[in-house]
Amino acid sequence: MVLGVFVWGSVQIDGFSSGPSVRAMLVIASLLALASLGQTLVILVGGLDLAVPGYITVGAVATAELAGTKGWPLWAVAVSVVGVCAFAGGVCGAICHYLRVQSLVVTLGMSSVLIGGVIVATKASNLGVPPQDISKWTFVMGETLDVPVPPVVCLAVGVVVGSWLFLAHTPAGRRLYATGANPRAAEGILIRTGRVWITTFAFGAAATGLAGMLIASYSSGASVTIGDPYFYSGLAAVLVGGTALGSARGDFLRTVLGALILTALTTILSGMGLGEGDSRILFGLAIIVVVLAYGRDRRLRDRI
Amino acid sequence: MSLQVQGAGGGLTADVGSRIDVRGVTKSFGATRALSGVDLEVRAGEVHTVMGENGCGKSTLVKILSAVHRPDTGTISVDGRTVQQMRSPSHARRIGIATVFQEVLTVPGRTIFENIWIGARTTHLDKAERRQRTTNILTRLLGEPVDVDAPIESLPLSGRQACCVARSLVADPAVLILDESTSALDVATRDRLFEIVHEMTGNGASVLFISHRMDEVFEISDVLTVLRAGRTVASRLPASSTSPDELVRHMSGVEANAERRSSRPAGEVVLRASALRLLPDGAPIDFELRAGELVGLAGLEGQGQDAFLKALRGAPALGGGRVRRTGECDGVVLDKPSVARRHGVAYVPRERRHEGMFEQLAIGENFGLPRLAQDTVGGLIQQRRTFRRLRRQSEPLRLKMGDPRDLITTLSGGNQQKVILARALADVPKVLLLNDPTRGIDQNAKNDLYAVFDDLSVQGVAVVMLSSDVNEIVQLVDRVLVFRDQSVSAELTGDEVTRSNIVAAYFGSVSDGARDTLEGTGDAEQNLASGA
Amino acid sequence: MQSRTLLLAPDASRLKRVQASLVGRRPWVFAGVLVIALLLANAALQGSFLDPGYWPGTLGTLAPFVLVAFASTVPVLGGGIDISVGPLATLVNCLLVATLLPHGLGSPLVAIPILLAVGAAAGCINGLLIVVGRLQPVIATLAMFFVLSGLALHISPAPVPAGDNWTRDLAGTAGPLPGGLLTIGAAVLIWVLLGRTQFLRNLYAVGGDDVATFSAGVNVAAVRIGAYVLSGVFATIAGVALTAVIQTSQASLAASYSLIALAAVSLGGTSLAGGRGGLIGSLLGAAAIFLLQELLAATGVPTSYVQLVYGLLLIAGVVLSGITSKGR
Repeated sequence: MVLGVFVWGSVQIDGFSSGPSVRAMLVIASLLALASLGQTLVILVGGLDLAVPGYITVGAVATAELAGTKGWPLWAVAVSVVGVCAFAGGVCGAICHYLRVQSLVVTLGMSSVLIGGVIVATKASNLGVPPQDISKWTFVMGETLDVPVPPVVCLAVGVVVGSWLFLAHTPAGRRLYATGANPRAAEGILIRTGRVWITTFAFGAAATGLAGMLIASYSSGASVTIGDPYFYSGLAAVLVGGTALGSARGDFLRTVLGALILTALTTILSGMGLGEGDSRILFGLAIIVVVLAYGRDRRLRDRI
Repeated sequence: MSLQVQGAGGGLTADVGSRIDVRGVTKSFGATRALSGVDLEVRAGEVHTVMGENGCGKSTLVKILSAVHRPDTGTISVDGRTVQQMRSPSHARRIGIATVFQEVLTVPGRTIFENIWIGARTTHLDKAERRQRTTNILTRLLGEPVDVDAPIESLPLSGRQACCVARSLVADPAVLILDESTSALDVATRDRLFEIVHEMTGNGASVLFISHRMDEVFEISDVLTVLRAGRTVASRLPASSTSPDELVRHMSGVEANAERRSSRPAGEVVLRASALRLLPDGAPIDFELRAGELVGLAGLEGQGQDAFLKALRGAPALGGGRVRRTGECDGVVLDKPSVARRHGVAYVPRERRHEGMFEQLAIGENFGLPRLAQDTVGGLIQQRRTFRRLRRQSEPLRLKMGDPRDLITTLSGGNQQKVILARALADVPKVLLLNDPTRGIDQNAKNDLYAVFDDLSVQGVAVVMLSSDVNEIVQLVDRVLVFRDQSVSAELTGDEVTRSNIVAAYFGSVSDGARDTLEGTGDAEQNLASGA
Repeated sequence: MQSRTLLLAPDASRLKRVQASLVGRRPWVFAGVLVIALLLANAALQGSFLDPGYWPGTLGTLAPFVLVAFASTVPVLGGGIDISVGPLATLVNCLLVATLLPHGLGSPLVAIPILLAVGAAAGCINGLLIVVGRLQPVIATLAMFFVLSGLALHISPAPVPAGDNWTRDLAGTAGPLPGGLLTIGAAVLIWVLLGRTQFLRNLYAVGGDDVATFSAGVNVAAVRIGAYVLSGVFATIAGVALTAVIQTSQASLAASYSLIALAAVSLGGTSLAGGRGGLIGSLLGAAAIFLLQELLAATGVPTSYVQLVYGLLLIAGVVLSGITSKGR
């Protein structure tokens, strides 16, 4: 799939497969994938996180404002971002699980709270520019230890490996899959599904917040709407990658592949003169097709 | 097609032709064959009862007649006309078949009036008329006037079921199907329903009746049809000249009892349930389980055996009571599943797909989940350890599998069940609780499991097996508790464990030898009524 | 199956259930009290608020809130959810302002049928994806969210001013009536007319217990699809009302209107589990949100608080509905 899209792009657009263009796409895809790590985990456990734009905004604005303007050290910013996002995510997970409410609605509200909170905290003023240290991470022509690959790409690869180890080879990862696959059976073998939900939402939120910091550095600034495109494309990347809602199939690698496909597609579409609207339409259709193929519900007559 | 049959319409009584004629209907769900050639003829003006034990196909037949399911093959004619495809319950209702199911299917948050008219075609009646009919019918059923605008939740269970009955009656059905719907009704309401039924049949309507109460069946039926293993084995027996024993014989089959396992001496008491009540006002159940004993739990669907088994694994019963682990654990109260598991009680759930296995996970993962800590070294799961444990467990189970990394869904149902059992046995339990462990698996796998259960009991494990299959209970257990109306209606030991005794106890007509522990059914009914 | 017949709850819990269902019959009380309090607060802070001269304008601004809330209510009552109402409203807005008006198709007699057809079709696609495609409502309407908001962006990548047109009256007075009353009234009229058919009763029943309703002989599939079509129609009216207020095409409003709609629905006491609630609740819920926004503006609190408040209200509403439906 990825190869196919890539070849199509090379044929359609001059310079598509040139070094700088590939690097740029890799950086964008890596950011997209990192921003969707949390979403992937939450979907695996059986939820849906619409608070992603909120977490990204928190991370991005904190980077621009606290690190850029106020000159906090980066680690302090990272710690506070993780703290805020993890708390918000944990609250969402707890409400969803204990009150049996759809995670969609709760996280939608949480997103609004976070973004509103950010606006209030910054008094909607102009934001600073992220410091140099972090901008190096997402610099397209950047190098990692003298290897000509931008650090953020290496980070994404590292996270793929790490998440694979976690999901496939640790007890916590196994319990996450089990909870997503069949919550009743999971409770039957005495897995504390409430705890799994809360930690997954909290961890996902924290990871997304950190991705927001990188996004700020990539865009050399932050605004309160910075998270939206990453949320939409990220969710599409998760679903197009084949991680199906409510069935606990999939992993982060698939999300990365989905992100690569979507980034390449978007690049091609914009090269062909099509806009943001068209790629959204395409994303929507892609989701429908993929989900129709993977994740359909039971029929009503089988439930009597 | 619209052939709205007015059940109350006269003239039909003269026609003794068949109202419903079912010929050679088969139906499979995946690999399970629910019906393999059922014939049923219901004539105008009769109460026709369909009987049979669990899994004989009577529910499936009802669901086909009410168009919830479609038959695979065979024909259904209504009033002499072949019904090609009944597409949905609304279609069935339109051609005059109304069904009341066992479950109380009311819609919460709506009023009584709204609940009764859901799905009804009311174009020819105005609201005042509809209210009048609702009040009339409900008053007749409940014996007193009710406020039809009250929320449905204001009625007790029996009253809500009466609303479901009323929902069918307001449509003036030509055929009324009562699918074990009387089990949720209190005695008085049931008697009033039977009066209405008599009146309806007197006017030419037909009633298809399904019940697990022998007394009820003989009280009301004109004709009986018996199903066994998805086939009609006795058709149109006149109720007046058929004895309960004869019916039991038809239901349980004439073949000799399966060969019984020789019973062995049991060890010390390992589990003791005292004054366990499955309902707040239910009859108390006392139960002792000994090491090396194999106890069966039997009963028709939903009679309390499931709740009893779950109480033994530490899920508190609705009406309270205690379950203790005795013996080396010295009286620990099992009030949570996690406590029970820590003290050597393993549980194998009933519905593999819903409660037992993780379809999206591999065989090894399914097996390893509850004991991940054992296989984890330095924070990472060592798959090889899991697989080694799985191999060790799977040998005695004769679990046939390829790579444990394959998805569990690549296995046959029998082998899936063996994986789930292996998972429970990995805890090395002292008490093994099995919730219908052989449901929907093939005979070879069943035999393998029987051998394993037998072995386990020889090794001193106490096994409690809930089963919907009488044969395997007869073949395997030392002792069986038969459940009826949320309490134990009979306890059969040793030679008393026969097919006919068990089936008779299902339906509440127990032969003398096994009557000792029978709780009064009248009491149970009272409990049901007041508990609701 | 079994658990249902076993649920012979003891008397105490039955009492509680009856109580819960009494609250359940007037679930909008909370929103109603909130609206009254906010009205008083607004009146106290802005004397002009109660001046009849301002009513048409206020109602006009309120209308899109109420209408998206209506649109979102219908599928929720049927046990589903529709998060594509915001994008559909903005698509209608963009279609009207950026396509129909410039091409001379802007007269009400031409534009309204076209827009209604678009809205109903979008709703129908939602319904088919859910009923025939058996997708979870969340996913199906999320995908439609993408498609519809993409279409709106495609039609109008940047805001286009509407020029002089008939919708302007809807934000003020149309003839003798306030325009806002006209749009809300149209939706309410449809609802009342449907109340004379079996559709509404069946919709509530499907939301309450789809299996029971199916077995009682209701065509559940048709009811579900109908619910989404109706939602599409309401969202269309919302789009027109929105156009009346903003007089430009604004594709970017999609997400916030979906958010407002859901917040209004859950604040209005409509259970997200389905089967309980109604348009009155959503009307009051939307009014409460609107009045809160007005109040914040009047007290000089920066508008930046608005989004924070939306979010808090939505979470509060959900927790509220979760607690009441858990008591069942």
